[in-house]
Amino acid sequence: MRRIAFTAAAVFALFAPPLAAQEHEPLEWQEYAYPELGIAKEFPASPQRQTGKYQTEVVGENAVPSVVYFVDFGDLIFQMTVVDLRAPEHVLRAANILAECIFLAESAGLPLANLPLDVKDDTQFGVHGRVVSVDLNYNLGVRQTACLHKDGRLYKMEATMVHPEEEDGEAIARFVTSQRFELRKP
Amino acid sequence: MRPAGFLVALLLAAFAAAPASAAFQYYVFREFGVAKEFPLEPTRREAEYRTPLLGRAVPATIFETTEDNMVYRFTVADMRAVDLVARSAGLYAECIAMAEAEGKVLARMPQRVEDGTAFRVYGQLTSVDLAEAGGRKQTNCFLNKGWLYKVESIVLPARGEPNAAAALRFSTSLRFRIDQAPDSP
Repeated sequence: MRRIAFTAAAVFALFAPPLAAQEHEPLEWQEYAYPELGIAKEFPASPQRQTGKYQTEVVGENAVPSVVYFVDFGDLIFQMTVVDLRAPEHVLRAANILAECIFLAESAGLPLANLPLDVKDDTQFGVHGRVVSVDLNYNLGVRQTACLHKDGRLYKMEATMVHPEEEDGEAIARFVTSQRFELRKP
Repeated sequence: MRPAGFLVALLLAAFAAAPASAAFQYYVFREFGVAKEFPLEPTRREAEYRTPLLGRAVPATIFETTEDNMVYRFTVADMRAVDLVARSAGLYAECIAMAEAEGKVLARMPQRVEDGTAFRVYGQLTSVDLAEAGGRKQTNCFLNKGWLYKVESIVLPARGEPNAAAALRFSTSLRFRIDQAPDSP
């Protein structure tokens, strides 16, 4: 009897429609400029601001200040973290800090993609970083992370889809690639 | 008994037919803060490292050897100028992007090498099939303490073994802990 009940449950689970994606507010993209952080960034709604600390192996034992701007729709989360790494010892480790950012992003799950990301700035060189896409561990969704470093600051853009939906894929790609370092231009 | 004898004969034949395996050995380059394995003693030449992001040429030293249709190259570029230190993150990312642009990307693997500090040195290994059937290439990029380290192993088509184990060994055998390492011969 127990076996029949179990089988019935398994069959039901197999044929039951997938959980409906959570409805979230319509995305209204707008660029927000943060001149004090040297960046302008698109968000799909007005972001909330938090200050915090960023601590990793490469940064060292003493956590450094960071500012986080985020929009949380529940099933879709957009977050920009700007880390202050202007201290000389951190400037010396800038490449390693960027490499670690990429490493940590990949470690969050099963890597799906790891692509170059070039963003123009007000120099002839531009800002060169990476975008990493992972299937998060523990079935927590899909996340794209962009890691960029410029003038003593680490910029980490993260867009997470808790319930991956094809139509939201465009939004997370847009989020991690929509930043400007040329703040003189409107 | 017969199958066992056949198996032994097969193994002996296989080993006899195999090319002499490369005798990898570490060479310590103290002035660059690194030790690197090579299958043969590498030649050394002074060169320039120039990329679009760099905007100018910087001194570089290239250690290289070839063996059995494989090229083993290790480039150390001097990024210690203040303006380059400030842009080192971008220069590191550019090293990876340039490696990817050389052909069809087959794999990317994060790297982490002990250096005796609490934080270690992070890098990325890229494997590509080179454009115009140029063979298979692995490139490992690191940037640490003002030095860009670029490890390249190229398996030429004539080798007939694109996934030669020596390529991966060369690409990943890099040590930043050289305090107790013996000097190169």
